[in-house]
Amino acid sequence: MNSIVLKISNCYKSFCKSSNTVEVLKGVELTIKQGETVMLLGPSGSGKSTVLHVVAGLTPIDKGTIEVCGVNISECTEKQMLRIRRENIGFIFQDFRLLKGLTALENVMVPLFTVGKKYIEAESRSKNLLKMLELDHRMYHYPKHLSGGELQRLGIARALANSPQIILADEPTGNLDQKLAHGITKMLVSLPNKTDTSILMVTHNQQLTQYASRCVELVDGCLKARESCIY
Amino acid sequence: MRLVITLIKSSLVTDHKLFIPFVIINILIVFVISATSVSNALFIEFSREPIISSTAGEILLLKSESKPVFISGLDGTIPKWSFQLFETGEVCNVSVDHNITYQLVLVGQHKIDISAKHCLVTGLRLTTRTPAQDIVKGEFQYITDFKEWDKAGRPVMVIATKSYLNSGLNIGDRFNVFIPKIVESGGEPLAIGLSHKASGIDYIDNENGEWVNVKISAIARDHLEKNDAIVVVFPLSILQDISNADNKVNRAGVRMRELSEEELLEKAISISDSYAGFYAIRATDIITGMSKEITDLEKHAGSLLLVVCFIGSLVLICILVLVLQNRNSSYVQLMSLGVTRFKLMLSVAIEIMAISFITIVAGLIFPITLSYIRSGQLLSTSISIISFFLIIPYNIVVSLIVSLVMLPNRKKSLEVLRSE
Ligand SMILES: Nc1ncnc2c1ncn2[C@@H]1O[C@H](COP(=O)(O)OP(=O)(O)OP(=O)(O)O)[C@@H](O)[C@H]1O
Ligand SMILES: [Mg+2]
Repeated sequence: MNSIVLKISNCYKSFCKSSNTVEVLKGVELTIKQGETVMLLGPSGSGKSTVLHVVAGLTPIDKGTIEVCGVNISECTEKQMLRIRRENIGFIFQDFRLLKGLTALENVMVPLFTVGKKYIEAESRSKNLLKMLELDHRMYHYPKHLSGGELQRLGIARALANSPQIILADEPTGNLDQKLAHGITKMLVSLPNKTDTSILMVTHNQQLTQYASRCVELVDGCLKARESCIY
Repeated sequence: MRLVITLIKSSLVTDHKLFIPFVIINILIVFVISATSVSNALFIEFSREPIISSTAGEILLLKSESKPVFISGLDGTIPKWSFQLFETGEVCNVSVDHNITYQLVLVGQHKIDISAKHCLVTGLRLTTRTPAQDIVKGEFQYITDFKEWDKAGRPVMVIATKSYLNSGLNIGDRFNVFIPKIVESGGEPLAIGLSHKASGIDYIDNENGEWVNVKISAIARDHLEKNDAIVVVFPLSILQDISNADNKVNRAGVRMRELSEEELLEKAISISDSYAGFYAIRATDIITGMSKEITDLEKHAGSLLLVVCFIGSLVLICILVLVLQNRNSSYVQLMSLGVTRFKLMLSVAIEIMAISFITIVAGLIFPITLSYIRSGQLLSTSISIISFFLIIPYNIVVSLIVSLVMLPNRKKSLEVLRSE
């Protein structure tokens, strides 16, 4: 029943800038099952964001395989990758990255439109999501009128729009205070259909690890399990 | 489609200010070109066409030392040959079956006591085939006997440009006009263009002449607005009397309505060839010669539009590069949501299409309204309205090319995501 949503095996990734090569990922192994919440820790510059980017197919890997919902993304065409991103992956950014020219509701509707949902359908789904994230009173507001916590909840609503199998969150609470960080993380791990959705979340905040089902740490380009944080 | 609409909305909300220069330039371009086209069209409709149609079918016979030529100068187009007098009847055998309108045109230093930059005195013998003048007020009292003419108060017709007419010429107004004397040269150098000594040729002696007080009985409109001149038209015999021209004239107009313009040209050429010293020229050729600049402008309007389109597209490219650079992070964000590059390009193209369309319409509204009020039709002749809308596909192609280059690709997208 607990199928594998993400499987990274022996993944290598390096960046070449002029003469010097930075080897960031050196044989990363990670498997995430349906419904799991995995926290990714590690020192700054260790390559945590890179892990998320390679999973989302935003940058190709040098070696190894990454399977998202059973599809090997290194073998995907750009078009197939976009489809996986649309249907299987929800991305949450640290700095929210919402479209400034659209209202909260419209921002959530964009991913629904990308999969060809009708306006009415998209609207009701988005409204439900916003209600669930307690943003129903901000539906027609533009991002510039929202607070940090509201923006991040909006980002989450957008990531959830297409009910992705996996949510990739890159320090989603990095810009928020402790209380909000706890609130948002709690919200993420207690989503209604949480049993279907896996989360891979990068964080620096040790306290948030209490909400994870599992913690991994990126050290020296390899992932190590952190037993201590299992709650 | 919903997605594209949403994307366009998003872009316009954030970037509408960046498009302001593009919008303004587009409106200006269309406005300037269409306004020029309207004024040209109005000129052609209200001025050139009526004269051309009124003089169509007419051949002018002239006696001249050399073939008549027209040159364009600062003062407009002027005939570059010297008028010479000839006896009426000398050319009668050209076409006995036609009524011939004889004219005595005195080109020289005329004086007139109502202000006029240029003045021309003409004697006209009216026939049933004389081209109709565009008489605005009054009636040309054609009296051939001097005494009767004197008794009637010396009526003349005045042909003037619109600006003159507006400046207060009225029926019944009297003014003095200086009529030079026509003298036989007797071998003296002539003042009117013939540089060599010639005998037996009449010339206009501007030193001797007389002031004649006349009354305006008819006012006609001269459609060649360019040369702000005034023409005083006398009955032919009266002017012959006053100027000592006796029975002589220097122009004869032969109406041959039944001939086509091509046949007319052939006829003119054959007359020129077969009568020594006589030249025949189509009246319409003189008119089109005089409005040559406008005809040229008309011809170049199309290429003008192209040049302007090119400038417009340069502006569009600059603005698009800035706008797309500015939107890079939004676009990468959208791509991380799974929006395809094609959809992004489509949204840019539609956006540009909409902006171009609106600006073209905005630029056209005023000239079209003006044209419609004046002539009862939308823009006409040289540039059709459709050609302005050709700017749209052009702009779309430009924007597609620019966005193809500027939109983030798989390689660039990560950099954009990181650089923020
Ligand atoms: N596109 C790139 N080009 C060159 N080097 C890069 C690129 N992306 C990442 N790197 C390098 O890879 C390393 C890991 O970067 P990454 O952003 O994944 O770290 P991180 O663990 O997310 O750090 P932080 O916690 O500060 O966000 C860094 O040393 C960075 O300089
Ligand atoms: Mg990072």
